[in-house]
Amino acid sequence: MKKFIKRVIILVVVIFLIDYLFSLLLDFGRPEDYKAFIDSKLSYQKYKKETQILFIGDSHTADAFVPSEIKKLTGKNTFNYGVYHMSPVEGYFILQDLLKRSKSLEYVVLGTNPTMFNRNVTEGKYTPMFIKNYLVFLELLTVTECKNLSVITRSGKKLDLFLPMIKIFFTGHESKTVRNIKNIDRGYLENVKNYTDINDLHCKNKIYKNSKKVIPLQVEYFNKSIRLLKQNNIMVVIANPPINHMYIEDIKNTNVYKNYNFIIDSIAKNNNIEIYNQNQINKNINLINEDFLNGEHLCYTGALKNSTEFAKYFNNLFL
Amino acid sequence: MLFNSIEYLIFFPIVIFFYFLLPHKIKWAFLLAASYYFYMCWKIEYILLIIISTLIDYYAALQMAKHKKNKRRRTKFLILSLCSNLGILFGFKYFNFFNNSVHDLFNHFNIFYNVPVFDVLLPVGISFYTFQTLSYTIDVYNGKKIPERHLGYFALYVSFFPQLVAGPIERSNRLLPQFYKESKFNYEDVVHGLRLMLWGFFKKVVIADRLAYFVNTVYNSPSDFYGFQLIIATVFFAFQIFCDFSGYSDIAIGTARIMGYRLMNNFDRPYSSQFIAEFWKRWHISLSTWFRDYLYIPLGGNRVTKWRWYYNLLITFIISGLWHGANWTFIAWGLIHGIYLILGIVTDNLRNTINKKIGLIKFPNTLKYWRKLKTFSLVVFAWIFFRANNIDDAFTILKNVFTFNNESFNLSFVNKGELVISIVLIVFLEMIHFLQKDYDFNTFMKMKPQLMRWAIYIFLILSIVYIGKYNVQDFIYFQF
Repeated sequence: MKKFIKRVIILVVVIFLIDYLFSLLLDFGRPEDYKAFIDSKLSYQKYKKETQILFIGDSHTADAFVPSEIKKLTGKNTFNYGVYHMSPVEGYFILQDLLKRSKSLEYVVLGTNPTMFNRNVTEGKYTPMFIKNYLVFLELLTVTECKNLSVITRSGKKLDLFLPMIKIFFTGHESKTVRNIKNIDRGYLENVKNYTDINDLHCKNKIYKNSKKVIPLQVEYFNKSIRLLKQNNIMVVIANPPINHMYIEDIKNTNVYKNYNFIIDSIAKNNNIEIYNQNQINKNINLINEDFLNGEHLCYTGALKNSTEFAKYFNNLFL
Repeated sequence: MLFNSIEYLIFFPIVIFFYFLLPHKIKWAFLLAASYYFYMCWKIEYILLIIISTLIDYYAALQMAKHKKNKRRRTKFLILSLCSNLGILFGFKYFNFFNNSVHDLFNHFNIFYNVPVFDVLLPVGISFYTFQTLSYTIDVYNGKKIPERHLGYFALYVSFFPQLVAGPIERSNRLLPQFYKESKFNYEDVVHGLRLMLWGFFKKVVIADRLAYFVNTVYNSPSDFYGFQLIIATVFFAFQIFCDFSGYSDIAIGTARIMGYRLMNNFDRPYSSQFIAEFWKRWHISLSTWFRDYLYIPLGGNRVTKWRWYYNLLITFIISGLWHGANWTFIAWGLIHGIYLILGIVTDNLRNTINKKIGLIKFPNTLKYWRKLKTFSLVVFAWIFFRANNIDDAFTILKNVFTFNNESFNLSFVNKGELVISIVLIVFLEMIHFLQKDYDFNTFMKMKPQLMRWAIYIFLILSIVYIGKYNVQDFIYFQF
């Protein structure tokens, strides 16, 4: 029995070691902006004790709120925890994990995206990389009926870097970056790159055409996030980050967009929560096309304008 | 409960832990409880069927022993066992099939026929445990086995969880005596078992479930696919079903081995067979030997006239096909294999003469690989009927498989990366089989230096974790 246990322990240690080394190897496959994105969110550990306003949502949120600008105008330490591709279900578990780590939070801004309630429930492309608490992570895997066991390992969470890594080793060419990052500001990536083609400002997302059904679990977990925050005596705001007016024109008559507005309004009303809504009119902040990376994501100049406007809104509401 | 589920990952270590902790006297009760729980995880009420089968066969066997000099009475109890077991099997598995077939036949002749359909879920593994208990009562009837007097041990023999729902179909002479032997933690057994389980999980989760996506896409709408698409889907299915079922068997054998029980080997690299007859000695060995011992030989086997021999072969294979499922596709599959065997016998001399005349006999290796390729092709052809959702689909595939146009080479409906990984995995599997030579996987591994063994373990574990498919697909043979 002793011999067996000894060997099992050695095997487990070796596997963990290989997994760790492989994960380091995979990091070679990270394009610059991807690296910045991962590092920016992981840096929350540094600010967890002082963060007062937390933004959580997907890429729309990640690109729309500049923490330093909001801090300047509200006096509150702010962190942007927008995670690309994140759905409300994943958002709930990220939030749970962050709440376990951070005791200073006073306000949480739940960022939205018109397609958020139509996304399939998965354990997320990046979410597994950010959840530190193993119990929370296991709950996420259970709820999402995880179909990818690899996410429990260090390397498995970033296996999509395997091909880029191979490409770099064989050709020396890195994968193309989506954003040009100048600086990292408490979870926010200062992206100075804007759109290259006017068509980029139009809607290309097939989900508006193909997806007719709202996924009930996504709505349920968005509500659960609100309840979780209220139980922890944290003030909640829903924020609809700006979308380009051309994009809005393309989607405004789709079921996805109509359902989204209806659900968000109902949730806000039922929970007595305010909505910072910039995705319909953009009228206060004078966003121009050059403020956009594409139709649904802002670049740094746009994010600055939006953050200023949000800070004013926040001050009126709470301070 | 599926082997490839989180539930089993929790269930298995708990069972093993307590199994070694408990004294030998009560191990059987613990294993029986664990086995019943294992089965009830799927559907609680169907455990009653297993209990009914157990009690009837236990009683019938004791009565047969009691009246061992009175053949008539013995036969009466054998009939009781056969009727009850086969009756349950027929009721749950075949009634609707026969009912629908009779309905179609009557309909064809415009005769009114209206017997309602029996709306019931097929009990998982029913064909396996029914055949296992049948072999016991037949053996007792024939005087080959002394009846088991300990009801607990007998109940455990019927429901032993590693092989309960998909075999191997164990013989009472092999398994029952093992329950009496005191088993303690044995390093060799545990390592042997874990090694087999690892290999089984790899075949199931990494290979079979990956190929399933491709195969299902094609076979669920066969009229949309042609030529090469159908060929590759069918070849993939050949490997899918092998990895799925042999993977299950390896996990079952491995689980039992960890506890010190030796189950029979169920697969022996079937795709390296040179003849169809050899294929059946290597594929689902526990079932083919069951049919050999309890159907083919009682029918007379090959010690009869030529035509009767052919008849025996056909009947055995048609029933074997029917055992797999209540569908004409399975009957057709069995029939094809029966015909293959008969043609093999009929053309044996002719083929040998041709091989001699063209000189192939002088190149034994070439002849060997030619025969393997030919046998594999025949087996793959028959799989079309096995996998097709119905007989019409099977004929659609047969029609389309010989149609070659631009579309027939288009594999864009499947992810290219997944396709490459699938092919690499099949090559890897066959490479391991080639290197195994005549050894089983465990012996093959034991012969390797420790460093290489560990490298293989790590490779298999990481492959299961990194590239395994976790849609928790049922094992194909569960439906039988």
